Amino acid sequence: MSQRNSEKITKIIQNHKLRRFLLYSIILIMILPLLYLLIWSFARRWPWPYLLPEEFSLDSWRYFFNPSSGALAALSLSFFISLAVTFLALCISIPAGKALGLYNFKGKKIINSLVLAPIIIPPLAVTMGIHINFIRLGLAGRVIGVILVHLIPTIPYSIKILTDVFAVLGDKIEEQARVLGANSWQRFFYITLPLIKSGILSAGTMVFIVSFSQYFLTFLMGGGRVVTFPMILFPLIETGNRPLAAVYSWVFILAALAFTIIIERIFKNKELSKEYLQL
Amino acid sequence: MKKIELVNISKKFDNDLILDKINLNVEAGELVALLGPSGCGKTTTLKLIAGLLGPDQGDILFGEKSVLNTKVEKRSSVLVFQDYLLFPHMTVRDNIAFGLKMRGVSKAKREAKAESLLEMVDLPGYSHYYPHEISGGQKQRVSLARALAIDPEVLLLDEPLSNLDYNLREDMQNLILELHNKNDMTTIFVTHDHEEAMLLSDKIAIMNKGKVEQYGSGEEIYKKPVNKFVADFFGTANYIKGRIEKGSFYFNSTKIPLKNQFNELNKNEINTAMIRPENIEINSKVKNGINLKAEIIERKFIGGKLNYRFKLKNGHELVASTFIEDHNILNEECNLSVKFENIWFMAL
Amino acid sequence: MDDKYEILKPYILLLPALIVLIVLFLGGLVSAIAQSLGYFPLIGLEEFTLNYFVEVLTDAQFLAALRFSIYISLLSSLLSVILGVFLAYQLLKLADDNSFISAIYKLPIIVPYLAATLMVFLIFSQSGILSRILYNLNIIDNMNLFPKMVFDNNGIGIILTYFWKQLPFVTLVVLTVLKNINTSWEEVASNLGANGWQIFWNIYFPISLPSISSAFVIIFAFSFGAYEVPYLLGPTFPRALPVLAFQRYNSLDLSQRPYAMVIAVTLAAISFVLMLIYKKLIKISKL
Repeated sequence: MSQRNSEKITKIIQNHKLRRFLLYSIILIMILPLLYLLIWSFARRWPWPYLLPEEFSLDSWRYFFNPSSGALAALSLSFFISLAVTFLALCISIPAGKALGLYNFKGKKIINSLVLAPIIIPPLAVTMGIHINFIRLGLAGRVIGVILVHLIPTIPYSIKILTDVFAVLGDKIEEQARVLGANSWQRFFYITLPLIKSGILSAGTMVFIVSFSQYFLTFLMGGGRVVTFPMILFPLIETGNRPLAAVYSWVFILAALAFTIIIERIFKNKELSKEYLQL
Repeated sequence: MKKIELVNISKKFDNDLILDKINLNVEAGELVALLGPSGCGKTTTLKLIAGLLGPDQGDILFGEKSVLNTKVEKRSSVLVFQDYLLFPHMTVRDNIAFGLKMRGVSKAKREAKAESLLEMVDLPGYSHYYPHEISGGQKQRVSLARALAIDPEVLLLDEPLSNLDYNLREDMQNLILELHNKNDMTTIFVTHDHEEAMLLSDKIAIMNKGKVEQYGSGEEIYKKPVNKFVADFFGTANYIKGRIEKGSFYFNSTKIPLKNQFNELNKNEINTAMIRPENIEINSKVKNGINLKAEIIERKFIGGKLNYRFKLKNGHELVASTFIEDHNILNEECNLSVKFENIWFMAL
Repeated sequence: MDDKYEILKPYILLLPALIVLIVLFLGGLVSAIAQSLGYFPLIGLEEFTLNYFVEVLTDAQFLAALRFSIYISLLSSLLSVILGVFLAYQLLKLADDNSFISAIYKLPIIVPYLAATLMVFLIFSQSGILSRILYNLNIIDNMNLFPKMVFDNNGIGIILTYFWKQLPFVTLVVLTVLKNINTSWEEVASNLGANGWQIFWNIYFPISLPSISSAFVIIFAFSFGAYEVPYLLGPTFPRALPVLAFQRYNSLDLSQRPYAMVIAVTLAAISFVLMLIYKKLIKISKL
C-alpha cells in the first residue's frame, strides 16, 4: 500500500517536472527571438554563417537618436495619435459600456453585433471604402483622419471590456449613492469612475496597443504624410536593413511595454483593485 | 418625521402587474413592516417610496405633499439595501460621510458626524477600515450609520436582517429599534419573515401578488387574519369546514355562537373556523367553548414545545402545541377544548 | 416624470459609439460595396453592375489568392488554438501561481506585428540564425540548402508570425475562462473516477469551448484581413487577398478601383459568414 502511494507520488512529481519543462520551453520560444533581435540591433557586420556579429557597434542606436533620422519625431507622433485615440475611444466606450452592461432595451442584440463586427470584418476593407469620403472631406493625409480611422479597430475592444465591467458592477451601488443624495455627476465621479477604474485601464491599454501598432490604416489614411513610427519601420524591414530595423523594432516594443507598465503602476492601487468587484 | 401615504399605487414591469392599486398610510414616527413572500411587490414598494422607480398610477405623499416630482436625491428618504452596498473604494468613515459630502457639508463637520454615528452603531475606532476588512454584521451597521448621517425623515430598509447570522439578528433588531426611536424617523422595512416583522414593527402590511392583504398590528393579524393566505403566513392553523345556521356556526353537530370573531364579511359567507394550535387545550374542559373527543396520532418534541397531531371521530385532523408534557395523554383518547373567543371565522 | 428619459437613456449613452460605428464602419462598408458594384462617380462610373464581381471571381489570380489566404489563416489559427488551449491548461495546473511565467508568456501580445515579422525573417530566412546553426553543425554547407521558409509558396513565415503573436492571445483568453471554472467540479469528477485527461475533455474543454471558438474566430478574421505580414513575408505569387486588394487599389489607373473593392468586399463577406457560422455554433452548443 505504502509502496503504491510512493509510486503515485513519484509519478505526480515527474508529471510536474515534465509540465514545467514543457512550459519553460514554450515560453523560451516566445522570448528568445526578442533577445536575438536585440543582438542584431548592435551588429555592424554579421554575414552568414556567423553565429554572432563579426563587429558590434552602436551605430544603429546612434542613428535612431539622431534627430535627422526622424525616428524620435515619428515616435512622438505615434504616442500623440495613440493617446488621442485612447482618450476618444474611452469617452465613447464608457457610456456605451454602461448602456450595454446595465440596461435592456430594444435593438440591444443588433447593437451588440454592430459593436463587435469590426473585430471580425477587416478594417482594411472598410477603410478602403471610406477613404474616398475622407479625401472629399479633407480628412485624408491629416492626423485627425488617422485618429478617426483608428477608432474602427479599437472601440470594439474597449466597449466589450467596459460592458463586462458594468455588468459585474451592476446598477445598485449607483442607486445607493442616489438615495444618499448624490446627483448624476456626483455619482459618476465619486462612485462609478473609481469603481470601473481598472476596467478603464485595461480598455485603455488595449486601445493604445492596437492603435500604436497600426500600420495599414495609418498608411492608407495618412497617405504617407502622417509619419508614425510603423511608417518608418516598415520600409526598413522591406529593404532588409537588419540592424536598423532591429533597433526600431526594439524601441517599438519597449515603448508599448513601457506604456502598459507605467499605466499600471501609476493608476493601479493594488490593495484595492482586487476587492473592487467583490463588494 | 413625516407621515407617508401611498394612494392607489400601481406599477407594471413589462406586462406584469407588480403592484395593483396599493393604499397604505404610515403615521409619522411609526415603524412599519412590509411582509410577504418573494415576488409580492414589497421591494418594489420600497423603491417607489425612495423614488428609484416611478409609479404608473397613483400618488405618494410625504406629509401632505406629493413627492412624485421630487428627484430621488432630493427626497428626505434613504434606502438601505439588503446587501449593504458599501462603497468598496472608501473607508468606513468616508462611506458614512458620503451623503453629507454630496450636500456640501464641510469636511470637519461631516467627519465629526461620522465618528459620532460610529459610536452610535457600536463601531468606534473603525473609521479607517475599508469595507472588505470588516464582517457582514459590521457592514450592516455601517450602512445604517451611512443612511442616518443625512438625518432622513424616512428610513427604508430592505430585508435588514436576512443576510446576518442568527446570533447577530437580535443585536441588530435592538439596534434598529434604538436608532428608530432616537432619530425621530418614519421607518419602513421589508421582510419575508413574520417573526422579524412582529418583533420590530408597530404595524405590519402583509402583501401578496401586488396587493396589501391586511394592515395592522402583528397581534391583530395573527389572531384575526382576513384570509387563509394571511393566516398561513403567520404560522400553522387548523381549518374546520362548517355552515351557518340561525346565526351560529355548525360543524357536524357542534354549535359555535357567532359573535365578532370575523372580519367585515357577510355572515352567510362564513364557511370555515380557524384555530391556532396553541389555542387547543388538551384534557381540560372549558365552559364557553367546544369540547371534542380525539385520538393522538403523533407527538413530537421540538425544544420547549410539544407538537401533537390528533384525529377527530369524523376523521378530521387537528394540530396542537403545548408547553407542558402530560404523560397521561399518550396513546389515549382524550378531550380537546377550544374557547369560543379563540376561534376565528373566515370565508374560504 | 423622467420615465421618458429612462427609456431613451441607453440610446443616448450609446449615441457617440453608434455615430462612429455607423458613419465610419457601416459607411465605409456601404461605400466599399457601392464601389465594388461599379458606382464610382469620380471617374464617371455611375451605373450599378455585377460585372466586376463576375470578372474578379473568375480570375485565376484572385482564386489563388483566396485559397492562399484561407490556407494561411486557417493553419495559423488552428495551430495557435490547439497549442494555446494546451498551454493554458498546463499553466492552470501549475499549482503555484508563478507570476514570472504568467507575465512573460503574454509578452508577444504587445509586440507589434511589424516587429514580429522582422524576427521571423531574421530567424527563418535562408540567411537566418537557423540556417547558420545548421551550417555550424555541418548539416548544410550552403545557405541555399536551407529550406525556403520566407517568401515561400507555402507561406510558412507568415504562418509562423501569426502563430507567435496569437498563441499567447489564445492562452490568455482560455486561461481566464479556465481559472473561473469551479474546481469542485474537478473534485467531483475525479471522485467519480475520471483521470486527468478525462477531466480535461469532459469538464474543462466543454465549458471553455465558447471562448476557445471565439478566440479562433477573432484570430482567423484578423489574419485573413491583415496586410503587412503577407506583404513583407509572402511570395509574389500567390499573394494574400489583402495584398492583392491593395495592389489594385493603389494602382494609378483609377478604373482598377472597383476591382480592388470587389476583393475587399469578398474579404468582408467571408468574415461575415464566418461570424454567422460562429454564432450558430454557439447557439447550438448552448441548447
